[in-house]
Amino acid sequence: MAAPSEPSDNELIKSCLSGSQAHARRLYDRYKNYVARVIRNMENDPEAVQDLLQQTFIKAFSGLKSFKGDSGFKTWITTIAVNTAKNYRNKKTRRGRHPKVSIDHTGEENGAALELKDESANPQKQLLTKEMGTVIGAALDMLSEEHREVISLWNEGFSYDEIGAMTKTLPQTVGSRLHYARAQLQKILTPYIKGNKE
Amino acid sequence: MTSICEDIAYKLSAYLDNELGEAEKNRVEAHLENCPSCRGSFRELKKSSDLVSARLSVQPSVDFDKAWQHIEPEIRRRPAIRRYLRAFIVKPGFWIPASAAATVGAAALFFALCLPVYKSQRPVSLSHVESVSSKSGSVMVLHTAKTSQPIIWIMEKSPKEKRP
Ligand SMILES: [Zn+2]
Repeated sequence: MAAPSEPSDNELIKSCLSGSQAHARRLYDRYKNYVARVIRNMENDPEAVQDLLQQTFIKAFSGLKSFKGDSGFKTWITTIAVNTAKNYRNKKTRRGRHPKVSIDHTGEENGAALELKDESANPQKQLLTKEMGTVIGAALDMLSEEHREVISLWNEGFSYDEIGAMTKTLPQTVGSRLHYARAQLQKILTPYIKGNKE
Repeated sequence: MTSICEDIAYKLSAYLDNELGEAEKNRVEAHLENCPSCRGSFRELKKSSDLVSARLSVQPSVDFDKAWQHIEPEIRRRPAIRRYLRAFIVKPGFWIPASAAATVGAAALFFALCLPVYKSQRPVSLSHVESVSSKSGSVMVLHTAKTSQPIIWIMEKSPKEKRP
């Protein structure tokens, strides 16, 4: 969240609308990490993530006039990011280029361990081993788009109501999708959890 | 596993997210206290959920400055038209259906013929011309300051030219 001296989102948006590139950049800096994470959680390919991030911000800034302000900029840009990633995945699937899931390559970060950043909505101070990160990445890849979408938004701390509003579904549907997404992930992960931990 | 356990199993995910109403939440808690099997399921669910969350919270490596270099010029002016053209033209393997090309061609001809007449009545001041080229052809856009109505020419390359 913004420090007291920082301009609010709405203040930045107002000056973006009157042409301030500097304030557009500030708004971008405020949300870039968040948007990148939401997109990556929908789509693993790092090149695509960069491209979809660009598309999301271009759409958001170009459509700023139509931003009503009642739902907040974060919710608004999240909807754009999710839809942009979904369109990309739909096109990719239609072209038959949906990647086959591989356990050793999920197009992810390198390094021995993936250390968690504190800025996420569900910060857990624990270290995820690279192997486990890769397994989870592959498990996530096997989820349907709807399940991946709710899991990704849930992880950013949105309530079922908020996710429902963003994905145009009922909160009960969100709950049910999360239940099945978790069940599916658990099925894949349980042997690893039992084998690796405790 | 009893049918109550099945019912509880379905509610554990929402319970974990604190999304149950007060009454249901109490019912789940009361059951968990008395049922070791559901307690075990809940523990497993929480464990895998935490791991998934840890993985989803890892920050992806994106070159944000490079991304901004692409965003900034796009939002500076006339973003809608540029985006439209890019989506329409720069896709590899894209081709303009003949009928659409003919329509656009006719429109371009119409403008070409009518522009001098139009000009004599109401002077048109040119603001700027943009063009985009691709393997399948090129497009030129003329923005007139007076009407802010863009005039678009689409020029298809001949099939021979298209071959790489
Ligand atoms: Zn039970």
